[in-house]
Amino acid sequence: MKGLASRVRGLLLCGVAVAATLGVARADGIGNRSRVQRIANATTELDVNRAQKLLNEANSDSRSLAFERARLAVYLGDCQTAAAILAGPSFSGEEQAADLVELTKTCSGATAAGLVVEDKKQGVWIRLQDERDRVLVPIIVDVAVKARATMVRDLGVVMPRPLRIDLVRDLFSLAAVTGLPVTAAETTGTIAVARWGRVTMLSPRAVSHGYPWQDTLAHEVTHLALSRATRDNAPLWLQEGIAKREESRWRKPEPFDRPGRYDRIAADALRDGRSVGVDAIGASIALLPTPEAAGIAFAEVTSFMAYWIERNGVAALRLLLADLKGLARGETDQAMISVTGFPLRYWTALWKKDRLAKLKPDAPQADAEKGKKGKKPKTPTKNARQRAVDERELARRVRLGDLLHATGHAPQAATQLLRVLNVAPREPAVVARLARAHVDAGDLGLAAKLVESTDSVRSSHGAWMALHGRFLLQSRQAENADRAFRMGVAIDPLSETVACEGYWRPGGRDPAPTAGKPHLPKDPARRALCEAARSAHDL
Amino acid sequence: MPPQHILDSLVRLWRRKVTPALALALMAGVLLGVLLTAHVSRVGTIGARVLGGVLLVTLLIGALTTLVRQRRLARRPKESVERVLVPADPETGKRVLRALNLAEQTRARTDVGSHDLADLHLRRVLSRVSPKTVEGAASRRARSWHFAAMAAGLTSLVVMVIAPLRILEGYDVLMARGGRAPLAIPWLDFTRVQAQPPAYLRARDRVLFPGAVQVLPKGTVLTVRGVPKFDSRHLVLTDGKSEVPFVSDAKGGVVARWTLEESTRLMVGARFGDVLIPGPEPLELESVPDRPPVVELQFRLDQSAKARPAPARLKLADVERLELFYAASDDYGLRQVDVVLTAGDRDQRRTIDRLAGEVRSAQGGHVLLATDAFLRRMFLPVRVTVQARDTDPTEDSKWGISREIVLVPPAVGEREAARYSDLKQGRDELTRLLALRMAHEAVVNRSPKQMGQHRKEDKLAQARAATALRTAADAVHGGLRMPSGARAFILGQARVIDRAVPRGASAVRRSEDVVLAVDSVLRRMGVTDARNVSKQLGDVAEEVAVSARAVLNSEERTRSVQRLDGAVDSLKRGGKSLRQLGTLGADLGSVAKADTGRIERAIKDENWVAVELAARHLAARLRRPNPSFGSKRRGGVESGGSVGQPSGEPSTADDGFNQLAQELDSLARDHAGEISNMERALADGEKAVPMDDLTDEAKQRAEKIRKLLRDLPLSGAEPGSPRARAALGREHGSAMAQSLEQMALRDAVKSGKSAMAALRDARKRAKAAGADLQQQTLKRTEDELMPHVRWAEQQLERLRKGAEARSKQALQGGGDREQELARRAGNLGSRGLVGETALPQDMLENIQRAESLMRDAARELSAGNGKKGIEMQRKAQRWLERSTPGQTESEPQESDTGKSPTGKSSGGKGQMSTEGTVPGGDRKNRAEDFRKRVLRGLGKGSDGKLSPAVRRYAEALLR
Repeated sequence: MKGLASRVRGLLLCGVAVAATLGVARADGIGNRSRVQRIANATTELDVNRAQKLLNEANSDSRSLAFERARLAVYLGDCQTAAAILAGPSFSGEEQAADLVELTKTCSGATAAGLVVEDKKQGVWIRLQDERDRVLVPIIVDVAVKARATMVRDLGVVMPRPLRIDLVRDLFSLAAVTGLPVTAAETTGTIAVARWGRVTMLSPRAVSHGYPWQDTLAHEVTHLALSRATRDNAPLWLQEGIAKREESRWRKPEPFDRPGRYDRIAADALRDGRSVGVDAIGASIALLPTPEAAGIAFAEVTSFMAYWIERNGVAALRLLLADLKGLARGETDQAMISVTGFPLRYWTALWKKDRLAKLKPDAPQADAEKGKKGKKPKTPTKNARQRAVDERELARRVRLGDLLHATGHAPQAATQLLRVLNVAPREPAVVARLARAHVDAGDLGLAAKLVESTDSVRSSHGAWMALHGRFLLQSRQAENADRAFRMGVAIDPLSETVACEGYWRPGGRDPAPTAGKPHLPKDPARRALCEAARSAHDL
Repeated sequence: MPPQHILDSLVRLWRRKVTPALALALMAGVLLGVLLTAHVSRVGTIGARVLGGVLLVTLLIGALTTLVRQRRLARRPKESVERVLVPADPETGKRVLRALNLAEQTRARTDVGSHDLADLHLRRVLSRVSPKTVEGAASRRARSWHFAAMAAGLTSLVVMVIAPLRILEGYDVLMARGGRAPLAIPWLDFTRVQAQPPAYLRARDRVLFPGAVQVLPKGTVLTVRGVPKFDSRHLVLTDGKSEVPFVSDAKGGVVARWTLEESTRLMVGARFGDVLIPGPEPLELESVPDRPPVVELQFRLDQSAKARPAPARLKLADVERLELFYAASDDYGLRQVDVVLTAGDRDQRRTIDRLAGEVRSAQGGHVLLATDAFLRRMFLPVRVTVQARDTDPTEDSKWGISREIVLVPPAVGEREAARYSDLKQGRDELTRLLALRMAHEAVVNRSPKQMGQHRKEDKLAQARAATALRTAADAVHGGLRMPSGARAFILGQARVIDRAVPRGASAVRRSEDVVLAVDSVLRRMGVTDARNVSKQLGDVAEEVAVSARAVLNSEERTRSVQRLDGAVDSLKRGGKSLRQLGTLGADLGSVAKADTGRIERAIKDENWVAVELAARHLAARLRRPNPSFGSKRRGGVESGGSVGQPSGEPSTADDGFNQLAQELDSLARDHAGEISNMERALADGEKAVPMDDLTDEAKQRAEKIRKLLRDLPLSGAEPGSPRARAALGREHGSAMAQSLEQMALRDAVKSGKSAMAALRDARKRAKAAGADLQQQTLKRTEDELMPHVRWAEQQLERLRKGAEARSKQALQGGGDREQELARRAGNLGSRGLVGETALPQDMLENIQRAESLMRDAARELSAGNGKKGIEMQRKAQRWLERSTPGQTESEPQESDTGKSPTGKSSGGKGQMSTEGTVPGGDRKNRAEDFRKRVLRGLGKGSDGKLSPAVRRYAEALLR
């Protein structure tokens, strides 16, 4: 959700960059402002070849053109060259260029000697900070190509080739490459940023138990496409609303997609008076008062855009994007009127009415939890206390289960985990642990039953999906098993259990020779992942 | 008579007169020319020398040609007429010349006329020439030549007489080859050569004589003196390459000084333009350079082992104590011996011996401890050498360097990883015990035999787990120990495991609690250590960056690359250790591994800029040791989905323990405050006791004491001597007298006792040493001082009783509070008996002792016995302070905070803390710091909040 905040900050920074371009052009006192503007536009629209051609034609050493050359170098991922250009005395102390100067410095450090893998045939350029992430490249390329195709299909945006992706190892590097303040990245939990013509995202190995990195990639590709289509003039609600919509459209629908989730959250918020408002997000979602408000804002823009497209059609969306490209950042309403005949407030009013009418309130809302309206309960209620006890018990048993399992006592681990299954029966992390313990204890039947159906858990989980796939495969449902394995990899690709399709070596060591060779997936990408996961375990 | 005969007779007549004179003149001219040539050549320039040569040759050729022409005169009639007849009788001579021409023409051509007639004409003309006329002309010519010869001869004579050597010099210069004349000329008389070796060698001057090869130290100054044989010569002292001019010594002689740098032939010469005319007998000099000292280094790790010679490569982890033995020698003298520790671009030079340069060899030793601050900080291999410098002041860098001993430090974080691994081992043993108990519990209807077997297995597993915990708690890894709080916590948990499970209680439940308790400490320790190690590894990454920059810029590329390789190796090893430090360590270590991969890739491509950039990025990252993904939100902020994991802490055991530790700490602080209250109450009571009746007597006694001390010696004697001790006694006695006058009875008693002790000591020493100090006087003074001390003690006791009576109410209140504090101690002790907050046995016993003493103190205070009560309070305080375990968190890095290593702040709420134990001898630096603080405190007077700590320190020293 806080990614939205980074989006706002990205848009602002892009604005600053354009303003800086114009400012520098003015400072140069030259009459080629239109040429500089054309170069800046080409770069913003990711048309780096055109920008390069225009720069070559200009063949001048003016400050404004130097600035554009630096900006283009950043868009091409060449921070060292950009830093070298901006290191000139003409940019020292230049406030307008200061942000870009700082970015090029930090970016140079984070990307120096990074491993670049380019699939020229597919038109995808990937730079890896951690060489061990190379095993992810085929999957990243696959997702990127599909997401790019979806942009053509849904938004009518043809993305340039190659599509550039920086896979970084941690938030610190993410901040260094994108210019996002590292404290903000740590506070908001940003995992990917589409800025400077590239997608910069965290490696799944940075997050314990992974994250939905494939959908995240598609989400960020959408941001790039919108930047290209609107020349970075799309408002925040449009950016996030469309990106959210597109993040899962590159693939087939999956069990945990729950398309109506955002409508429900938005409707509840509207009903309870907790709504933030589509057009009232402000400069950044990060500046909203509470995480809950940020979540609501996210849900509202997603729900609103879904409604708007539902009413006006995809063609209207394409028209809106095209119109925004020719307007200034604050002229969104004009585009909205010209496309639909009505301003934004009209559509938000319609959307609110529709959602409130269609979505009735949830029946058993725990009023006690919220206390009386506007007042906080002075003491925890019995439920709250019970939940705290349950949470502690859950943590205690899970930890004991982990320790026992790690020391080779799977039956005892299963005993511990069984005790909390009633506390968190739909928690996939707990269920997956228990299933693993059963497998190691030799109770394959119990394990299979635990991971039998996706309806039994509340969300997707790498290990759970892998175990689910393993038992589907054993019951000869190869297609479903493959889908489960892919869903697992989409979350936590570097875990041995996930990468090796629900198999692991007890204690992380190879089994005795008599036990046969450990399982290896047939799918080449997963096979590589599995081998990498096992070698990482051995180190 | 043919005309030719007539002409010949005339020529003969001419030659007879002229030729001798001409020859004489030519000889004189040649002589003069020779002299002129010498003087021109003597200028010494190349032009002058060429001119001189040309002049000489021209002169000789001219003279020779003139003579030859004179001899051949008769053979050429026309020339004869021109030179002989024309000068003698010009008219006739011309007539003869015409006749001669006519005769020659008629001889050659018939058409001109008759030859006979022409010949006749010539004869008749010639016959008209008077031989007397010719003779007269010849005589005149001869006189002219005689005159010229005389002039030239005289001139030559004058030149030769005035400066005969110049002719020699001139021709010597003329014959020079390569700027050096062939003939040596002695230039100086009474030549004396004195050699003065460099002052730092402290050698005497020598007089040198030519002939033999002279061996001299490099830098010797040679002074050449003499009296010039010839004036106006530019004399120089030269080795053929460079020259030093002679200057006047103001005594009629000349002097030149030459500093000997290299072996050479030194000679005196005279400079003529470009040419040097050397003197005879050059000095053959051999320069002996001052060689750097030679240093031999040996070492041993164990006092019982035999020393081994360097070089060596040792693992620092294996070194507790490195004893270095050196032997340095120099050809002239040693000035300084240093032990030099070098790591990367950092070095530290420690002077271990300073010599006056008078000895040529020195031996000694030095000990390096593993706890040495320099060694502890280093992550690069440390090269240890012993370097000796000689007395040569001219070359600063002339050090003799021993072969090196390389100490390879443990990887950054290696010690922390080992400590973590130990505790993890303990936790895993506990987990196995838990698994065993769960397995036993799962068996229903156990037979007696099974029960016996289970008990046996349980006991074994229990002992294994407790042993593993204790091992982890007490292990030391290269000087790194478990933090005191964590150690106490772990030992407490080991005690819980050891204790029998009460009937009805669950052994499984207890095991679970202990497993989770130890696990929580392990995880917290992992986080703290990972953060600290990460920051240290950041320094290593910085070193990589600096090394890469050095490779880029340095001319010594090979050395810089080696340095870079060393830093990268340290980075890799440190990253490996970091990965072993729990979840955060694994994460940060993985980050380090990723960026190390980039660095290595850039090194492979020799892209040093990229190496520096990547290393600086990594350094900045590691100095910010947060998780890679630091938000509480779990992924999916962009894509919406989150990966749920159970949250919450499985155990808060260490929180409970830390709470108990904090309460114990607070109790000790409160109790210290209570002691201060009681001391203040007694002091207030003392002030209220009337002492006016004693003032006069005290003054009289003070006067008597002063008189008594007059016979004792004054201070200034050799410290430690009997006289000095006696003087000390006198000073203490004077202080007593002064205190008595001011009615400071406690100080008076203290000074009096010190005076008596000093006098007793002086007497004992005097007796042992047989000193002439009057022992009788000392004895008498001591005896007479004693009653005054006793009187002061009695009055002090009276004062104390009075004070206690006056502060009875305050003391009783203090007794009640002490009782309450004792109860708190009892409660805390009972909380430390079991469960998650279990304390180690020794701490429990300390609390119990403290509680007992506090109860006794409370009784005494309630009874109004202030002095005794306070004494007991102090004893109780000591036990209390030994019972505070500290927090379970790892010790922060000393560089990170200014806090004390135990994690306690040095004060709280604006008050200075008076608790604290005396650091042990094994913590030398801290013990030394503590001593310094105490000494500063002592300098400020005995009262105040530090006084209990000072007393405890003194007591600990005595122990």
